[in-house]
Amino acid sequence: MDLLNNLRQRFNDFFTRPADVRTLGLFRILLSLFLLVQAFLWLPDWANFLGREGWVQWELTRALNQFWHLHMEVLFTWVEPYGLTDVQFIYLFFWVYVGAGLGLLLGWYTRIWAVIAYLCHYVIMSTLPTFMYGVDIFLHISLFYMVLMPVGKVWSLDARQGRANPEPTWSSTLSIRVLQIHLCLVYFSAGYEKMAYSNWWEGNVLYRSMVQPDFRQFDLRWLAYVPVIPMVLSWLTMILETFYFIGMFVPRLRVYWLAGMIGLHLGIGLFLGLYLFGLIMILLSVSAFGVSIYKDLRHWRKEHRFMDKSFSFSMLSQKKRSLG
Amino acid sequence: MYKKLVYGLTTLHLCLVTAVILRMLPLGIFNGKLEAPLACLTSVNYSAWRFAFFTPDIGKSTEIEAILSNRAGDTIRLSTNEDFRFFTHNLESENRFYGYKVHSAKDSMFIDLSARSASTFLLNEYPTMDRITYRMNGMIYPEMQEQRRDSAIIEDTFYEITFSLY
Repeated sequence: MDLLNNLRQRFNDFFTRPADVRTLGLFRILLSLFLLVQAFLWLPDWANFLGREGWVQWELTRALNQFWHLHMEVLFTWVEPYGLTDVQFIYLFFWVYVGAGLGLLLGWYTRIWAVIAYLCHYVIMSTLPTFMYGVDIFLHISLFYMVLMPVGKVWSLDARQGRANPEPTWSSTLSIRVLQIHLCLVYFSAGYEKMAYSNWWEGNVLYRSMVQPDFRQFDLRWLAYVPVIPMVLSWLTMILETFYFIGMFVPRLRVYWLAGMIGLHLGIGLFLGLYLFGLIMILLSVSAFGVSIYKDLRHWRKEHRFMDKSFSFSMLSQKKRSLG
Repeated sequence: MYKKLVYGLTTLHLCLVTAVILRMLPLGIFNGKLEAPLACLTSVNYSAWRFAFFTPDIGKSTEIEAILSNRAGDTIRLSTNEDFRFFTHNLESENRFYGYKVHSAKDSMFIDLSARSASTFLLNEYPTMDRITYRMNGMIYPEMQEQRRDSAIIEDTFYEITFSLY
C-alpha cells in the first residue's frame, strides 16, 4: 500500500511540481530558428516544389488530398481575384511563413505567430504530401505544440513587455512533461522496432544505409570487411533509442545520454546526409532536457568545487600539523 | 473545470500517441471506420503516426532516370542514382526525393500521373528537347556478406514511359 501511495505521489509530483519554464523558452527559440534555417535552404527550390507547374503539379497533389487538407491552390483561389500570379503568391506565402517564424523566435505576440506558422506548415504539408519526411513531421508536431503551450513565458518580447507571466504554472509544467513523454515514446518505438529486425542486430541496415545512393556521403563499402563496426554502432543506436526514456530521466546519466544522442544524430547528418533531420532531433532533445542537464552540470561543478575546497583545506591542515 | 478539461485532453492525446506508436490500436475492430478520423488527426498533429526510422525499406531503393532527346540527335541523361543536382540546389532538397520515390513506387496510379507531371516539368526545363523517356528502376543493394563476395547491385526497370512532342 505504501509503495502504491509512493508511486502515486511520484506520479503527481512529476506532473504538478513546478518545472523550469526556460525549457519552453528554449524549445521555442531552437525550433523557430530551425524553421528559419530550413525555409532559407528551401528557398532556391521553393517554386520547383510548391509551384503550380512544379515537379508534381498542383492538380496532381490536390488529388491526393482529403477534404480536411488545405492545399496551396485553395489559398491561391482566394487571392487570385486581387491580381496575384501563382508564382508571386507562393513567394508571398514564403515570406509570411518566414515572418511567422521570426515572430516566434522573438516571442512577440507568440501565440498569434505560432498559429500562423502552424497553418503555413499545414498548407506546405498538404501541398507536398509526397516530398515530406521526418524533418517536416517533427517540425509540424513542434509547431502544433507551440500553438497550445505557453512557449512565450521566458526569453521573449512578450515577457519583457509584460504580456506573459514568467512564473511556472500548472500548464507550463504539463507542457514540458508532454514534450518529454512524446520524445520518449518516439525513441522507444524507433528503438524497439529496430530490435525486431535481425538485419539491425547484424549491422546490415546501418551498412546498407551508408552505401546506398539515397544517403551515401562517403565510399564506406570497406565496412563490409570490418562488420564489427556497423554491428556495434547498430547496437549502440538501439540501446540509446530504446532506453532513452530511462536515460534522460536519471540525473547522473542524462548528461552522457544526451551526448550519445547528439553523437548519433551527428552521425546521421554526416554519414547519411540527413543533416536537417539530425539537427531537429538534437534540438528536440536539447529543448526537452537541456535545462535539466544544464542544472545537473552546474550542480556537479558546485559539488566538485566544494570537494576541491575541502580537499585543499584538509591538505593544508595536514601540512600545518606536519610543520608543527 | 478548464484545468480538468486540459488534463483530460492531454491524457487522451498521450494515450493515442502511445497506442499508435506501440501498435496497440486495433484499427480493424471498427471495420476501418477509425482510419479517416485518425488520418485527419495525423494531418493536424501527427499524434497518430508511426515512427520507424530506417527500418523496413533500407537496402532497397527506387531510382528515376530521364533521357531527353531531340531530332538533331542531342541527348541528356538525368538520373537520381548519379547525383540529382539537375533539379535541386542543395542536399536538403535532394533528400526530399527519397520520400517521393518511395511514394511513387508504391502507388501504381500515382506513378503514372507523376511521370507525366515530371516529364512536363523536364521538357519545360530543357526547351530544346522534344522527347523524354521516364524510367523507374528498383534496386537492391548487397548486404555485408554479399559485398564480401563481390555481389552486384540488382537492378530492374519496373516502369517506363516515353513522351514525344513530334
